[in-house]
Amino acid sequence: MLKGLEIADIMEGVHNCVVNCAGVKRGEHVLIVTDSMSEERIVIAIASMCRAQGAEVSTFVMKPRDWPMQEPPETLAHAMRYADVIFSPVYYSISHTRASTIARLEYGTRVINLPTLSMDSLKSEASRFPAAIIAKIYEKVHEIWGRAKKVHITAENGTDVSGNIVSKFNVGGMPHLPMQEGEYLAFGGAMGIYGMWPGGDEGGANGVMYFDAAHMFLGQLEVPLKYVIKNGKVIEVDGGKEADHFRNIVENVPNGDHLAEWMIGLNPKARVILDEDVSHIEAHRHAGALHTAIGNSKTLGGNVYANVHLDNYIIEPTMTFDGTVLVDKGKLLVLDDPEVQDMANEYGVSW
Amino acid sequence: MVGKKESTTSYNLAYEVFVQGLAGEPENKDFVSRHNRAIQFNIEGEESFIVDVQDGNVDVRKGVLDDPDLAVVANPDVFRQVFRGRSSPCEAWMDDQWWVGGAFSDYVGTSWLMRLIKRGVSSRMKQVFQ
Repeated sequence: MLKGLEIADIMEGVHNCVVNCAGVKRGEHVLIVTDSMSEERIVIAIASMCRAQGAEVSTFVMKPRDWPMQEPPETLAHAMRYADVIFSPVYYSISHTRASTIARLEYGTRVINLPTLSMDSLKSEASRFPAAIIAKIYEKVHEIWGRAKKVHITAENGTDVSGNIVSKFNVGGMPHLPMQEGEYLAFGGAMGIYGMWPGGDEGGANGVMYFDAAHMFLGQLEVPLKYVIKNGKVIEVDGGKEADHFRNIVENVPNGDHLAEWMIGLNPKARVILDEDVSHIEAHRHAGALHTAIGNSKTLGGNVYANVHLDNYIIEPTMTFDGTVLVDKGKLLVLDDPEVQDMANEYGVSW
Repeated sequence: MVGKKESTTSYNLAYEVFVQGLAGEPENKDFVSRHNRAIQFNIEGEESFIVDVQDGNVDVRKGVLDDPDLAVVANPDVFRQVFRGRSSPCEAWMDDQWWVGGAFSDYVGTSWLMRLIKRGVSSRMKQVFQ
């Protein structure tokens, strides 16, 4: 098997990421951050695509982090400040760390997060899906979610939670395409999410959520993980063997009990893959699926800082905004919008 | 000088950073021209002041706005550490050492403010040490 030639199969996805999303340009300084648990061919492909755009590319290989959002080494943290664009194909994400936040907010670095990215993800239809259609889907979601005051989330697994939508914490979760100074994108073999930061007390989230998959654990959970939420905080954790891990974070990590985000996927080609990586990044981008974080929200749009950010996942939620259903049992209804369908026809894609 | 007490007010320091530093360096012109925003600074124990970024010009004046685009509340020590370039504005914000509010205090507005301060401090330090 000519494994090296497999790089050719991922180049369309890499082009989508580097050119259409990140907007890498001639003369820019690109920093690729990776670790020894990541796929070398992906690093080569990103570097090659950036070089083809005329960018100066440097690569930093760090020791894999022990958990998601653990700070990178100090030497790397400083290098991140002086890059125009950072791509981070790593095992455990460093996207919400202080190093990444300072690079973005103070220095205007564009950050593209690529945790647990596989060759298979980059070959997929999801990663090749036209960015312009995602932008149109985003716009249609924003017309409903962005103007609403209340959200109500239910699921057949027993989830029933609601909260206020505080406009300053409702920043959508997607950058401009191509990205602008200081923006952030998670490209986990696909792009396309929309969401909000429930905002602690102001958000007033209350209810119960049951998760089908949990961050750092492979596969669908045998026993759903349960959060009881009161005024934007997780006050009770229950479930199978994974529950102890999350209970420990909620009880012992400062602000680990903060309900940090509600995000849905926008990409109709993203697959619900739960057993190949512990971050479930492509699954998060599956149109209509919901992921919810505890911990840090401040560095991306919320109001509470924590040294942890863990995303759990509901495959088929129903989400209602001021009485308007946006997601019905996992189906993102704006995918049927005539403008979205016209654009899909124009690009020759369907779902 | 070791042990020298810093007598400069936050207002004076803001003038140095924003008017002399930020607006005084041609390389910042494009960045400053992108947005028109008025920022209220309320520093504990000191007179409030406003940093007005309008049409590529930067003005610092004493006063209080009814409805600022962004509002910063800080204690004087934290303000000095940041505006002297000894602390990161972003880290101070993440650690709740100072607070950002106002109509444009979402992610985009807050990021812009952090870069505005960082650029101003860097430009001022460059001027001082050149």
